[in-house]
Amino acid sequence: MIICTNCQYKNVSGAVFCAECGAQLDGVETLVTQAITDEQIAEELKKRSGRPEPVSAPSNSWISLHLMDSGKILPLASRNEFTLGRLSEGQPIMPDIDLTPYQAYASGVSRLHAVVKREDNRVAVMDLGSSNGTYVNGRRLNPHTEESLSHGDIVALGKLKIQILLRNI
Amino acid sequence: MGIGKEWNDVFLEVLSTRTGGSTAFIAQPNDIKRLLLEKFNALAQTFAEDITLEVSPSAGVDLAYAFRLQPDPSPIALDKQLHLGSILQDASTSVLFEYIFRPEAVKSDSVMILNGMLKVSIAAQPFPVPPLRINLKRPVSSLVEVEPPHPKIVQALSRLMLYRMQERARKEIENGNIDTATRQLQALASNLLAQGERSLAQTILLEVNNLQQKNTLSEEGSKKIKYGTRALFLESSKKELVS
Repeated sequence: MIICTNCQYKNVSGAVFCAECGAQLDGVETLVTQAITDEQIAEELKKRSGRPEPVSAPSNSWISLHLMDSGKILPLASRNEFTLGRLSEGQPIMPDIDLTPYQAYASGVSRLHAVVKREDNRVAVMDLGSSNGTYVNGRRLNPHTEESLSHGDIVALGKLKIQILLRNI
Repeated sequence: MGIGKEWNDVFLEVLSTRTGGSTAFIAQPNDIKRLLLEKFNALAQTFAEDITLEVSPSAGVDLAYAFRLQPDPSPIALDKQLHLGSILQDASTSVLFEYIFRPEAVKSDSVMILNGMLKVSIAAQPFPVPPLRINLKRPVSSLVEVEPPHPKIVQALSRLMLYRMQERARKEIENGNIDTATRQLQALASNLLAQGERSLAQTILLEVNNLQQKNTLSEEGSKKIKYGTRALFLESSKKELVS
């Protein structure tokens, strides 16, 4: 259920407006803390320790995105900034890189999820307030805060894992 | 079509929603001609009529509410056959459905929203139109992704919310919960004021006084509130009819 912050009325899940006072609901359900067992933590750490060797980046781009599940490499060039996300019908702002063909929806990628940018000698990623978060090497980023990237880093948009391939810039 | 204040809108509404029709409230005699012209024009533009949606029930899926947004905004009676009205030429018919899904509705990685047949009758067509099978499924993910619905749906919901607030208030009056109904009508008036609907908001606030004194709404005020909130779906020229 969704509790209206204006009148405390308990609305059914999925409600967009409060049935009692008409206020627009923020859509965030009451969060429940989930217990994680020691085994799950150990398994996750084991997964993360197996970071793959980066494949070589195509020469005509400053950054390439290696989509780890499909093996596809997307070389990016010509601009210094690319937004990443997925296209959906009626979307007012479209991402520069549409990850829909790579199971973006099922992986929890938001419509405008993150941005990768190049400034001087630095490449950074920034989460754009996505629902399921952006992770660099398993660490969740704070929204709207830039995080420097290195060659071979694993960036996860929700569950979609992307290895960052950089040319010397 | 109800003219004036002393007609049974509950009866007319039940009658019209069971056949896919619509009801209208005419407060001023001058509006009769305009409304009739609009109705005749709509009849001339009818491409298909008697749109009926036959829904096969799915376990764990409940259709909680249905409302036709256009043409002729109106709630739709929740029967096994849903009468959706007509399709006008070069115009779309939009219906908003509200579903409640219980856990048993989720089968593996998808949920069946609607499984049924859409039947239409096209007068210009010499042969009957074969029914159209409709099968709406949505994928289910363990990831929580809170994204707002499409802006058009949010806009429609914001208007429908106002209509439903008066429906709820009406129900509370029927059940004798005058304080709750008063609170809901006041909240409705506040929302209308925020959306610039001053005239309707003032009508509601007057009716709130009436409600507190007589424990009921006036015949005319009641209809003005009901059809006024329904008219919020219409473009401004048509809205004047019920203001």
